[in-house]
Amino acid sequence: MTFQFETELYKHFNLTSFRDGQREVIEHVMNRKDVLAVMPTGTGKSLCYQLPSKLLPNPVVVISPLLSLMFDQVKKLKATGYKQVVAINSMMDYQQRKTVLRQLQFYKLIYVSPEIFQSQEVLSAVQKVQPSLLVIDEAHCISQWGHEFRPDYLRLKHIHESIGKPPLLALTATATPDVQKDIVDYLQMNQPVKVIFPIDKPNLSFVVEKINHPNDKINRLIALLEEHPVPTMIYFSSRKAAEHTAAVLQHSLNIAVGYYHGGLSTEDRMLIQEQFMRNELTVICCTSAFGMGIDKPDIRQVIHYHIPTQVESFIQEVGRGGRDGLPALSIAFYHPSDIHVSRNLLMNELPSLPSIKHFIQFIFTNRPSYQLVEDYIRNNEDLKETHERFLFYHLEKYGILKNKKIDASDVIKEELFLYFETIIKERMDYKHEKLIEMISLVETDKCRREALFQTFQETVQKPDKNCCNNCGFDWRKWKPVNRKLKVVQKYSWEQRLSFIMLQDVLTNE
Amino acid sequence: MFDYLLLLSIQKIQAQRTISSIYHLLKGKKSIQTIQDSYLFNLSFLFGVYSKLERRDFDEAILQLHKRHYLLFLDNENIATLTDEGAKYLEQLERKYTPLYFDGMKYDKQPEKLLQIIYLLTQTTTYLASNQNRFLPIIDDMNAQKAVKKYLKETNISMEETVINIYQDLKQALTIFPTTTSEMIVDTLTTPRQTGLTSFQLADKYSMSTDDIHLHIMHFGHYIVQQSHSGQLFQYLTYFLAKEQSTKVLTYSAKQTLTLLQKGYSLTEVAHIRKLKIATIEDHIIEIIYCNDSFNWAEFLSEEMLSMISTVIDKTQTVKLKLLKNQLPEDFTYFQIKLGLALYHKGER
Repeated sequence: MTFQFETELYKHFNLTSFRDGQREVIEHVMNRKDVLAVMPTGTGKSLCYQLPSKLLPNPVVVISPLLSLMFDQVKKLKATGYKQVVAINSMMDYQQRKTVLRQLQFYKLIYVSPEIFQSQEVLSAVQKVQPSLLVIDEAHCISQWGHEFRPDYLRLKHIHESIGKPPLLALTATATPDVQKDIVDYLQMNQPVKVIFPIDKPNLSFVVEKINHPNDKINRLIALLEEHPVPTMIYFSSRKAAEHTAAVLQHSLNIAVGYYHGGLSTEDRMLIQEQFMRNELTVICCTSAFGMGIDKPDIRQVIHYHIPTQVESFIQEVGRGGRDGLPALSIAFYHPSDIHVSRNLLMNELPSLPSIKHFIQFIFTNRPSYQLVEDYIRNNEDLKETHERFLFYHLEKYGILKNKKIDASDVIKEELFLYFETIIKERMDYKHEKLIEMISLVETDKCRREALFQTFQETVQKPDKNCCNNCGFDWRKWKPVNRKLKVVQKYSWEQRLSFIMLQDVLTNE
Repeated sequence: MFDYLLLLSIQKIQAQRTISSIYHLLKGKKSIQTIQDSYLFNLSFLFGVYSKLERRDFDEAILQLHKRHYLLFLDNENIATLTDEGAKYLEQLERKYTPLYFDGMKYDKQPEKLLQIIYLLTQTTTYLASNQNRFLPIIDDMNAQKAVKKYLKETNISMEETVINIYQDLKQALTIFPTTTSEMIVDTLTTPRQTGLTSFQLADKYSMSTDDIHLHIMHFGHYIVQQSHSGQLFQYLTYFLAKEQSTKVLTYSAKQTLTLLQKGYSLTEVAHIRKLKIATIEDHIIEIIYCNDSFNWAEFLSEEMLSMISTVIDKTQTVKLKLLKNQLPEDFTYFQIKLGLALYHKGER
């Protein structure tokens, strides 16, 4: 197989050149090699399988953990005229799914969520089309040590085997050497080619500001945005704080501010995202739910109102700034009491020991069905969605859960509790270590750029200018490119209606 | 708007039902009790006009009305009546918000659906008319997307003309609403020139609660449905409703009962077949009476009994079953009285 990749790129995607690394990955993929690619977000990871899907004889199957991301990709591809693409997931109703599965060979690119593969129907339909390539998106979810571990991902090996072991492409944006090793080991990748890109960006500068009183954060924020009313994301650790701060900013500044978190309806999320993309909103106050799949090139400032609980999240979030290559700034606020907030957040990530005890008691006294256990977890005030995944994963690992059936007859209650206790302790210790790593990063007096990226790569690129506030960051040199703000004037609704709907049509006439 | 609908409902149920019944009414709970009550108290036009209402927000709104001394709680806060101040406030709101175009029982989910279609159709046609083929549909619902796509494929009208049609209809429809509503609706539209605002953003912009925003938009939705049914404006929207037949609300269970009754089974037989209590089947029959004009009720109640019931209702002006039963001969069952009430109300309407 020989292809003129540039020609194909133009033919199928109307693009004239590859971005860094894309071509290398695509070449290896087309040579049927297993590939592990670590590429920063926004560098066009998805093209690495989208182009091959056009060129390979059989469909390409992409396993992706986030439904919204999957929908976005499919929508975007369809919008560019790529029609032979489909997403199979639990949101689809049964009839729709059946129709899609029946004509699966029609598609060139098939997005699948990992949990849907539990359906034998889906698995055998995919088997039948003999995929040319299996892509694991967000591959770091495989690693138990990763910050986004997903138990569903542990079934991928089995899936890979059952669909005939096509070549693998594992993609991720952040992976420490440990996590990389986990991915390769776990998927049993065959002499994989590793294409690893530096995740630091020369156009990013880093500033950490120690705030003396928690209430001072908001004043500092107002001052910053007053000085530079440029596209800015502000990360918060809670939905409430994001909402509240957005309201305060909106009323103290003459710029449009919005908020975004997982509690909004799908429609509202879409509108906010779109407004931000089109610069109708300048500032967005958000939780970590915002960002996945957002490809806004001109974000100039990424501010952490609260610091995240691990370095990986931090890197991912600041990486959303300056995708157009122009200067962008990361500003993290830090107040010593923040560590307590972060600790509490960590504590909530896993179920508490009393609630585990209660859960085990429930299983042993009621001998419940799978459905009943699910209902128990979902209706228990102390247990959350992430806890559900954790509990089911470990029940499965312990051999109590098999094919959606619960059987604890061979298990000793006390031993099961001890098992959970050990696991939780181990995980909490790990998470605390990560948190301390994050804290020491904000407290360091060495170069922040080096401190931030040293565990991920051997060398750090030379910054364009203004490295970090430990290497002499000069605020006078921070002159973010600012676009002209639209002047919003008062018009009557009649005028506005004709403006937004008719202008283009009328001028054509 | 939310205050208005709440106070209006409280006034109309005359302390004969709990506050919760209003919540169920606005949510459009498909239970026999709620459907029956909505007819009983002439509130069926509000049935389901706020299907997304959350209990928390409802309770909060009621509490606020109480704090402002518009309400008086009786019987452990389960029942409320208007104070004099409340009645005055209601009059004031009435002047502001009438005429109301809500017709919840008749339109069911149609207003919500047509609003989605309007948003999507506006976005799609304005984008395509300005030669922009790439955009993310602002409405996520797959069925709505498919319907719009199909419509645009089948219609012979050019894209520019379709935009103009929608524009003219929107403009004319909005003229009859208060300026705030018109402003708000324009803000919700997405075209190449602007992205629609979310309800939270609208609430902020117009200093209203999100409940009010939602109801203002739904009110416009009901008007659109009414207009497209009567063929005045938005005629093309009937395309999106074509498949739905009877729009009146019947619970699934009552539908099954109706099918069996129409096959000729008696009430007892239906109860037996469906393994349900006779009382449940009786409730289904009441529900059917409210929703179905052609249902033959003669075997459950004679004309003579109906006229006796009607006379007592006229005389006592009550809808309380117990009071009615006391005024009627011993052999009248509660079922028959309920049936009589339903027929009385329907006759009146």
